[in-house]
Amino acid sequence: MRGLPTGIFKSLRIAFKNLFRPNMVIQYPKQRAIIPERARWAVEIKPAQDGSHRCQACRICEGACPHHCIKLDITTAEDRSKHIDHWWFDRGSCMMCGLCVEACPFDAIRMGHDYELAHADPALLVLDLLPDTPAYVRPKPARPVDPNAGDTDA
Amino acid sequence: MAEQLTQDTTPDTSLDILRDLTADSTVEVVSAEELAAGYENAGWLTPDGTPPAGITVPRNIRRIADDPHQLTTDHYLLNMGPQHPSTHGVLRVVLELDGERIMSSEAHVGQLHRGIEKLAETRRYGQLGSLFDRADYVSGIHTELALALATEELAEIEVPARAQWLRVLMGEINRCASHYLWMGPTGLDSGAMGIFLFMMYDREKWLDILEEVTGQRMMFNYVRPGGVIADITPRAVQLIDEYLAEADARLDEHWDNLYESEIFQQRTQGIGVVTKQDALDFGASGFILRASGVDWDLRRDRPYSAYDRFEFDVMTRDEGDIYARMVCRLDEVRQSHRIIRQCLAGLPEGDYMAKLPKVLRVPAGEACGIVEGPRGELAVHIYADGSDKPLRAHIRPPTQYALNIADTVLPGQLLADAIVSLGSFDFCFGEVDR
Repeated sequence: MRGLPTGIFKSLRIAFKNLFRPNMVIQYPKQRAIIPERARWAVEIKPAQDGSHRCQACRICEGACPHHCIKLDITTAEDRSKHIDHWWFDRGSCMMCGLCVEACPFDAIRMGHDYELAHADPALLVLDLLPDTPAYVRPKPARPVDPNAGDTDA
Repeated sequence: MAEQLTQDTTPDTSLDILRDLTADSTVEVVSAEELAAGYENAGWLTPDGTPPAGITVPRNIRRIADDPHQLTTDHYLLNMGPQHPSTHGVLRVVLELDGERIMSSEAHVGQLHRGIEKLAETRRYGQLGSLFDRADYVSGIHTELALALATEELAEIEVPARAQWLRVLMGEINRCASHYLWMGPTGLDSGAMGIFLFMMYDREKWLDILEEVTGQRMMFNYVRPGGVIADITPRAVQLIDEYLAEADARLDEHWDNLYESEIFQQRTQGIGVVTKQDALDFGASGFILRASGVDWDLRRDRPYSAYDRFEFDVMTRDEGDIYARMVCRLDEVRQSHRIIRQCLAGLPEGDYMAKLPKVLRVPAGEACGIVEGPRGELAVHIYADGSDKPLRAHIRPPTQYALNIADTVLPGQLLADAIVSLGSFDFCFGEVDR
C-alpha cells in the first residue's frame, strides 16, 4: 500500500454526508410511487364519456398481439349486429408491449396502471373484460331536416 | 510450513529468500526460466505422465517428492455455476484449480436460450421490437435501434430529424442506466457494498425518466422502424434537468467513494488484464477495447442516427485491467451527460414518426444495423423475403465475444479474483444466449 490509506476517510465522509440526505426509499404498501401517464401495465377497457365501452368487435387487437393473449368470442346475429360473449385477456402471458392499444382504431382499450398483478391461482390471471355485452354500435349522425323539402312538392 | 508454501506463488525477486527458507524442506524453488525448460522437470505431471491442460503460468515453487503422487495436490474441477437455472443471467464456468489458483476455465452458455432469433421469423416487423428488448434486457433501446436501422435501410424509410434526436437522447439515458447497473455490482464483487446502493439511486433516476417517456422501465418497445412511438413530455424534460443538475457532482462522489479506495484499487489494478492484441484478436468491442488502448467508437467513427451532430470525447485507457474498464465507463457516463445536455438544447421540431402503412412490408434483401451499445458493437442482421416478416434475423451480441476472452484471462488468477474478473466484462446473458 502506497502512503496513507486516505480512501477510507473519503468513503466515511460520503457516508456521513448521506446521513443528512432525504430518504429515497418508498415504504411500498403504505406509500405509492408516482406512475407516469404512459406507464404500461395490464390492458383494460377504456370507458367512453358515459361509462359505456367502445369496442366494435373488429378483432384487430387480437391480430396485433404477439403472444395471442387477447381472444374475443363474438356472435354475429342475422341482422349483422355483433355481440361480444367474452373478451378474454390473459394477464399471465401479456408482456405489456402496448401493441394492441396502438392498433385499436376505436380507442376502446388502454394500458392500465394496475401493477399488482400477482395471484396465487393462475386461473385468476385470465380475465373476461367485457362479459356478455353487445358490441358498441356507433350512432348514425341525425340527418338535418331540410326546411325547404316540403315546399318543392307544393 | 511446506504445505503453506506450496499454496503461494511468490514473485521472482524473492527467489533467494525462498531458497533459504526451503533449504531443508521438501520443496524446491525454481525460476520461470528453469520452469520453461519443460513440464517434466517441474514435477507437475498428472498420474498418467502428461502435463495438465491449461498450465501456462510460471510457478516459482514446486514440490519434490519420492512418489510424485503423494505430495502433489491433484487438480480438481470446480463448477462455478448457476445456483438455479431461472435466475436472471446465468453462466456456468468449469474451472480447473490447483489449490486456489485457476489453471484453466471453460464457459458454458445457453441456459437463458429462448429462441429469440427463431421467434423473430414468426413476428411482423412492427412486433419485433418487443421481442428484441428481451435480448439485451439492460439496454433495450440499443437493440431496438439496431433493428430499426436495418429495417429502415431495407424499406428505404426516411426518419424525421426529431425522431433521430430522440433516439440519441433515449439511447444515452439508457447507456447511463446500463453503466450504473455494471459499476455498482462490480464494486459489490470486489467487496464494496455501499457503492452499489449509491449507484442504484442514479440508475433509478434514469429509469424514472425512461418510464415517463417510453412507458416501461426496461422493456421499452419505443424505437420502431420509422421513428419512435412517443414524443418527450414536459415532465420528462423537467426530470432530466433536475437530475443533470446534480449528476456530475454525484460522479465525482462515486469517484471518491469507490475509485480512490485503496482496497478497491488493490482488488482491481493489474487483475483481469486484456492486452490490446487479445482484445483485437477476439473481436472485443466497446469499453473493453477502449480500456485496452484502442481508440474506437462507432458513435464517432461511423456515426448513425444523429451522432454526427454531437460533441463528445471517446475515453480510452491503456492498462486493460479491471480498474481501467471501470474508469473508462465512468468517463463515458460523463460524456453521455454532455450528449444529453446537447440533445435537450437543440431538439428539432417536427414529427417523431414517419408515415408508414399499418403493416410494413419490406422488400427482399438483407441489411445490417450496427450501433454502439453500452457493452460494445451491437448489430442486428435482417434477411427479408418481401413479406411482412423477416426470413431470418440475427443478433450480434458484443458480450459473447468478450466471453471468449475470459477463458484466456482467467488462468493464473486466484479464485477470489475470478468473480470480479468475470464481472468486469459485463456479460448480459439475455443477448449471449438469446
